[in-house]
Amino acid sequence: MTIPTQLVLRALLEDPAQEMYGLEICAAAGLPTGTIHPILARLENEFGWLTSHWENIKPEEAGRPRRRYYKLTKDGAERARTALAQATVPVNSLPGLRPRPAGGPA
Amino acid sequence: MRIPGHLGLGSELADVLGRACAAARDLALGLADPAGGDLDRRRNMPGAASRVVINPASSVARHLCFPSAQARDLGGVPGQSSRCDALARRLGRWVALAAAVPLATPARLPATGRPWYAEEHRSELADQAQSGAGRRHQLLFAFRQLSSAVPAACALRSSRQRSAAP
Repeated sequence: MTIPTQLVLRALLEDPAQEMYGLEICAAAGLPTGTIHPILARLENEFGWLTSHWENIKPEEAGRPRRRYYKLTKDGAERARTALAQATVPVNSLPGLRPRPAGGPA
Repeated sequence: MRIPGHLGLGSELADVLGRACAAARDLALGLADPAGGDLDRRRNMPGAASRVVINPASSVARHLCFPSAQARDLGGVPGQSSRCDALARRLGRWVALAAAVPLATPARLPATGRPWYAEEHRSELADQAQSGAGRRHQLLFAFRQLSSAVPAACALRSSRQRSAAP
C-alpha cells in the first residue's frame, strides 16, 4: 500500500461516520490538493471500500458548485484498518509524512 | 470586450487584446457558473455578468484581466509599444494556459466518469478561490488535477473487485 493511500485511509478512519469532500481529505491527510482523486477512485471503484454522493444543494442558491462527499463503508472501514495494520511501511514511521489536522500549521 | 481605437493601440494589437479578454470572460463564466453547462447559452442569459462579479471563482479571470488594463494604459503612452506588446503576449499565455488546464483534465478520463469529475474539479476550484487562493495556487491545483487524470482514468476503468490490499 502506498504512503498517500495510507494517509487518505487514516484521514477517513479518524471518524468513519463523517463524510468528507476532496479538499477536506487533502487537508486531513496532509497531501497536496488535486492528488487524491486517483486514490479515491481506486478505493471506491476497484475495492468498494468507499461510497460517494453529491451534496444535496442547489448551486444557484448556494452560490457554489455541489461538493462530492466520500465516506468509508462499514466493511471498508474494517478492511482499511486491517490493511493499515499490515502495511509494510507504516506511515507513522516516516517523519514529515504524518497527516496534519485540517487548518493546522503547515 | 472591444478595445477602443482611441487608446492609441494598433488595430492588430487591440484585436488580440479584445480576443484575450473575451477568452478570460469565458473562463470566468466557466469557473464561476455553479451549475456548469453551456457557456454560450449562459453568457446570453440575463444576469450572467452579475454572477461573474459575485462569485469568488471569477478572481482567476480578474487577475487575468489585470495585465490587459496595464496594456491599455501603456498603449496611450508614446514609446511604450514594446512593453505593451510584452504585456499582451503575457496575457495571452495566461489566458490560454488557465483556460486549457481545467478543460483538459476531464477530457483524459473515461466517458463514464467525465461529467462528475468535471463538476468535482469545478467545485474544488471554486472552494480554492473562495478560500482566497491566488491565481498561481489555482493553476497549480489545476495542473495537479491534470497530472492525476491518467491514474484516475486507470482506476475508473478497472471494474474488477480485488480482494488484495491496495
